Amino acid sequence: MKKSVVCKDERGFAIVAAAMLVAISIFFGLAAAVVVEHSRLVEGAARVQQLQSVRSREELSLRVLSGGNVEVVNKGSLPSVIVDFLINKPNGLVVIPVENAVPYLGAFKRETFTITDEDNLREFDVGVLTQLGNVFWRG
Amino acid sequence: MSLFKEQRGVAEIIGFLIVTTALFGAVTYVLAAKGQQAGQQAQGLIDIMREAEARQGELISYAYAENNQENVKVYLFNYGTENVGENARFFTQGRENQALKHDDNHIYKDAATGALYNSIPPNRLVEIILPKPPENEFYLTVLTKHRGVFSWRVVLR
Repeated sequence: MKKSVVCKDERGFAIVAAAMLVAISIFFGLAAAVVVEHSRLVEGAARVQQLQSVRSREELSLRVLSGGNVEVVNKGSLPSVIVDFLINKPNGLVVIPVENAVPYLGAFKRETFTITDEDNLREFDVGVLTQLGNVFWRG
Repeated sequence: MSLFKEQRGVAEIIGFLIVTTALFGAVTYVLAAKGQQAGQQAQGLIDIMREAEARQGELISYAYAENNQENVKVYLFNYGTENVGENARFFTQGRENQALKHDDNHIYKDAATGALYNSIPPNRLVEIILPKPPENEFYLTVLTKHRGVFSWRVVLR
């Protein structure tokens, strides 16, 4: 009789312990999934914040030269990547991509880009669009 | 004396069974009811965080706006890494406006190549056409699919 009670005791506790273990495992799994998602979110937020910070520090200036050339000066402390040149003509905005050129402009560097064959570029507003989404117009 | 011992043994068994049943019942309840509830809450949290992650990846900037007769052509640039602007809503001065379609389906036109899009691909400058508001200076607000809100002050020349 005594032995049987001990066995029942152990079996009962084992069932309860197993059930609690399963419950703990389930809750731990859910918590782990939430923590993983949260860390991804925080990492992404930090990346975007860094991008916005770099974006706000970007500063380029333009000078239109003869022969369809534009001199771009990077006045910021970080490199810039030029995506498009913009020419504001009376019949609409003309967008000239610089995919085939070298669009990378190091910090405090100046580079001259030939963006058109036209020689009357000085008559129009000329701008430059960077990879960080900033547009700088000729001052 | 022996009878007392036997009674105590039976009481111990009954007591143990009650405790075990109560514990097992509590655990089963937690597993069945709270477990499901916790699962739903965790899934809800994960959904919210994924939505926020998608939203923070949406990065568009305003480049330029052109004044036409009845419309305004707005140039937007996607400086993020994901497509942005599918099913976006546009507001000028707080009033919602439908962007005019370049063909049956597309409202975005690549400013450099003329390609038509449903959303703005990364690193592309696109144009959208909106009805011109009465003023030449207005706020343009874009509300994206992931509830990202972008607002710019537009001055038409």
